[in-house]
Amino acid sequence: MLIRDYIRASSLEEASERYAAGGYILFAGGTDLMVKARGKKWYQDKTFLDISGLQELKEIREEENFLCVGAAVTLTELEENREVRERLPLLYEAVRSVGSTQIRNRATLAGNLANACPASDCIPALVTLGAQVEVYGGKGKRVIPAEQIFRECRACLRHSGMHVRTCYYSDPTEKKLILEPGEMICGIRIPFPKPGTGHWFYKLTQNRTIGMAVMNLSMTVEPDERGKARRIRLSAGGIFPRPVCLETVRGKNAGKSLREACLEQAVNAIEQEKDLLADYPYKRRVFPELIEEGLEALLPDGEEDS
Amino acid sequence: MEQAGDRMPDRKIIPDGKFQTVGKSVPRVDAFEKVTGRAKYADDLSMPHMLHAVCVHSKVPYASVKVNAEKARSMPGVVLVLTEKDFPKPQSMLDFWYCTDHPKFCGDVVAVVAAETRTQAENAAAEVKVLSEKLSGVYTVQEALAPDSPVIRDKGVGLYNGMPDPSGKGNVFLESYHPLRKGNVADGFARSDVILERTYATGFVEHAYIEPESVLTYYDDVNQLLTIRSCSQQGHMPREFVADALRLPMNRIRAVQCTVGGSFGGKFEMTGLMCARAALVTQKTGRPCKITYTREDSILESAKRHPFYTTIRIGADQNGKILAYQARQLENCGAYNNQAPWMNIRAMVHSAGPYEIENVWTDTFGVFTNTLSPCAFRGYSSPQVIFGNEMIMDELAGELGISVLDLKRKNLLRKGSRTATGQELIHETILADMMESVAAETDYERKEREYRNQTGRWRKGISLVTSYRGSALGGEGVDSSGAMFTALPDGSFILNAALMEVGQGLRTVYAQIVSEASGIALDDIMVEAVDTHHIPDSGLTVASRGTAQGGQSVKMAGEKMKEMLLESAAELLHAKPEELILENSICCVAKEPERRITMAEICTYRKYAGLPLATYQWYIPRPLVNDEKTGQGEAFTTYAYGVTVAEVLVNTGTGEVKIERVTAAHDVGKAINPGLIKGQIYGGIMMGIGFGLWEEVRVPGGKTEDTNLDAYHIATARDVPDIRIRIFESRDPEGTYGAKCIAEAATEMTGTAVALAVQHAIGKTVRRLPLTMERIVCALDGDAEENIAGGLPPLPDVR
Repeated sequence: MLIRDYIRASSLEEASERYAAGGYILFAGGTDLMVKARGKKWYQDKTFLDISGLQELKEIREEENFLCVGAAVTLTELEENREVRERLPLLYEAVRSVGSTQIRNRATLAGNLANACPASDCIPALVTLGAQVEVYGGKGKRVIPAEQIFRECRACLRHSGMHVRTCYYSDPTEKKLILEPGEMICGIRIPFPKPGTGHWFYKLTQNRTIGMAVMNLSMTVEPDERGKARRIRLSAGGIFPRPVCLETVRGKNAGKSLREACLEQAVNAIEQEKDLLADYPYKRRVFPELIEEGLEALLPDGEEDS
Repeated sequence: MEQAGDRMPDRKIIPDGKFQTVGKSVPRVDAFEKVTGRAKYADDLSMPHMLHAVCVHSKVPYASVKVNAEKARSMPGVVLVLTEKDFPKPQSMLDFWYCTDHPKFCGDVVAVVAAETRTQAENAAAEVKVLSEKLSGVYTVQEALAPDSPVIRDKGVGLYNGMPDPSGKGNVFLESYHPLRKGNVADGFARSDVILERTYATGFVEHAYIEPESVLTYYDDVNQLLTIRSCSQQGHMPREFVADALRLPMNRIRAVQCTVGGSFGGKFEMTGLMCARAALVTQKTGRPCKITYTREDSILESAKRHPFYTTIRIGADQNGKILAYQARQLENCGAYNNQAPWMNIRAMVHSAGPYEIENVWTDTFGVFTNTLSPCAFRGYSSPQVIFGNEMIMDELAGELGISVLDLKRKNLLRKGSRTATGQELIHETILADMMESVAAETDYERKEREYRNQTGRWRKGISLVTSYRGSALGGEGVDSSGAMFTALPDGSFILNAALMEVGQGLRTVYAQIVSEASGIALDDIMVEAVDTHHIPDSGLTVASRGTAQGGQSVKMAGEKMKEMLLESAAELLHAKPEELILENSICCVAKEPERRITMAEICTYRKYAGLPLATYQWYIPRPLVNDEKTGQGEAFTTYAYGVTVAEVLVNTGTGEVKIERVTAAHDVGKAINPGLIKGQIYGGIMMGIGFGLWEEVRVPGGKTEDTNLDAYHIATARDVPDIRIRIFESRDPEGTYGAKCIAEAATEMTGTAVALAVQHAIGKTVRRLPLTMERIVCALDGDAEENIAGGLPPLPDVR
């Protein structure tokens, strides 16, 4: 691995100024970058700009109904955070399923999002929860809904296995996010779900490895005032060219039950990608099964109505 | 890992009291170094002025190449770039090439770049221009056997009536052909009420040892010997490769073993080639040279398990007695192959499974392809052979409408049975008893019935697999061994043996054996690393032979030492040797224990009396006679038996498999070190699960992308199920202290057991490994009627 240089930023302003000047790759945990860089010359003209030591990005704090997670917060820090465990269990499970303990000790939530891998475990959870991304740049801060920050990346889905080692993108923030030049992610705001919201996270892998998901599924079921399932939100990794959230609301499904409508919507969504998924009959075949398993867990029998 | 459920006591035939150290789980002699990280592996070694070399692989599976190294040679730090013409003998004595302009698989090396630093060597290697003129190759066994396919090896022959035919050209590897003929199969089939014919397939499997290959060569400072330190699992073979490649006398080359980070059969040929490449750099520059492979290089070039296509036709009467068995075991041999001629002896001998069948006809042979290079891999054909056999037994039981246990009860080998090679089993044969015991303990029959009509997403499955395994090399090769045991004046001892510690625990077991035989305390014995200039070659560290056969000369050396020590002790104590006992390094008169003498006193006495302080012993096993044309004869001196039960949960939506429990029972003869045996079995089971469910290096068109452990999935600690181990002992006179084998037996059944348990869970037959999620979903959807036999020649007509 060759890099031009490595710099530890001393403040967010400094990091932003440098980053805007060009020639830098943002480096937080490095768990994707270091693997991608091995044996390649991608970064020999780039400087790694390490933001992992910036105290202003290390915070986890509650703000109104949001949990705000700084860009340098590691997955282990989230995993050990009581608010995350108790009030964002979907995110907690997604975070816990990433890599290994050693990887989570370094990897950050923001980095996982910025790397924009379609098989990421955290992105579907963030999208399902309606998280917002705080972006810092020359014009100050702006907030982008997580679901809208990604560009479509069809090449990624042609990348069998989606291994970090063989990733096509040296700097995904350029090609796979909608950020302006010089803009950097400084935090993620995650709204706490309504009380009583059910969640389901499932990572599908051949064996219990530290590797990427073949597919994963994040799902929440939000109850109405009477505790009855009202709204299902779901997002899946490893199968769509861009993270999407599929939402189904009770009573708006032309006579179909919530369960049927949810499944139908998901099947339609992958039908639209059938050319892209032509080489993945398994994924197409199994995606509805994953959803059904989640629905079985979240919707008790007999609680369906249209 | 072994938890509650240890209800069934281990079977002890030989009373424990008879032995001092044999039979005890003494800690590994190398445990401390390994757990503390102090053990040094080949890549941990470094020398002044050492060069680093990088091998440039063809990447094109079959081509004629022109290597242009001009730019690479001009790069900073580059000392030399070697191509085929620089090698005095570019092709090795074992078929593989040290360096070639005519690559036949993508892992062939076309250039070797040596530079001052590793990075400089890597940068220069990237600038070696390889102009490839692609040739038309064959990338599957089916392509290789197609009528007009290119012939990729001059020595390849054709097929006639489904059997190798030396009179025609083709891609069949004649030397690997081993026929087995017993009785009259045509007659057996004619009398059968049920006849099934099925084909089963397995894939390329990577050894995935934790330490990728590394070698270091240099001239030593005393004799200018060209010295090799490497990860080789064979102590003596690196010397042969270097002597061969450089055309040097063998006594000018010395190999000293390193701590080896796993091998499983794989660190032999390719490691030898690497030694020769580094040695040529050292010879040309006078400087030490190290080559360490990345995981990608390792997976690309290193050996694999042979993929098998096994077509079996089996006939039985309505009561379930098997009357005829015909099979063709057809394996993908890659472009070069040194092992199939030997491996296929084992595959042939065991081709009909652990069953007594009167009429057997099998043909076992390999086919050349431009894929990867299969060599030896833990089991040496048995995981593949067991897969075909046990799966068709299950289908046969289904067809007959009887339980597979009843089918086995009618056919399993027992004492006095004749095996497929016509060998009478004269030693204790406890397979049927083991099966009943394990079936009862696991409640197999009840669970198997209960799981038949499941609904729901997650379904349970249970399977029972039986096997037998010829212990050590037997008729496969030369099973002799030598050992030297040296006493020092202070009463400490050194054992030199020629088989290798590769992680399996051989140094510990040898210390136990020589301690038992000599009466010297374990702590007073040092087991030396293998050094070609200290101990003669004793053949290969393979075939699970280290303890049972390699241990024989160690035992003899211990016994001889005891005799020498007692002789001197008798003189010093004024007693007769037979009046003395020597145990735990204490020698005394049996009836007057206060009349005693220390080892230091005896050894010092011998030193000044001018008596020998060392003994070198050589063990020659009894000869085995086999007929090559029919495979009939005494194939192995004795056999080890095994039973495995796997219990799984299968997600019928996604095809995921969770292994809940594996129960493994092994007849090990005598357990020299039960703790090490259990260690072998735990690891063997996990390796076997990988073979059964996940592990395959895919090679479409002769190329592979599965070159690291992100794409190639081996079992992890989190995959470990509840493992229950049953060690059975049996009275057996053949091996050292009655030991049989375990290293390969530990893994050979598991892949089949988990696949069969999945088959039972989903109620659909499966015929290909690894049984991935994708294949399970296909099977559930009924797509399993995939024609595995398609493109393969029909079985020979035996009428």
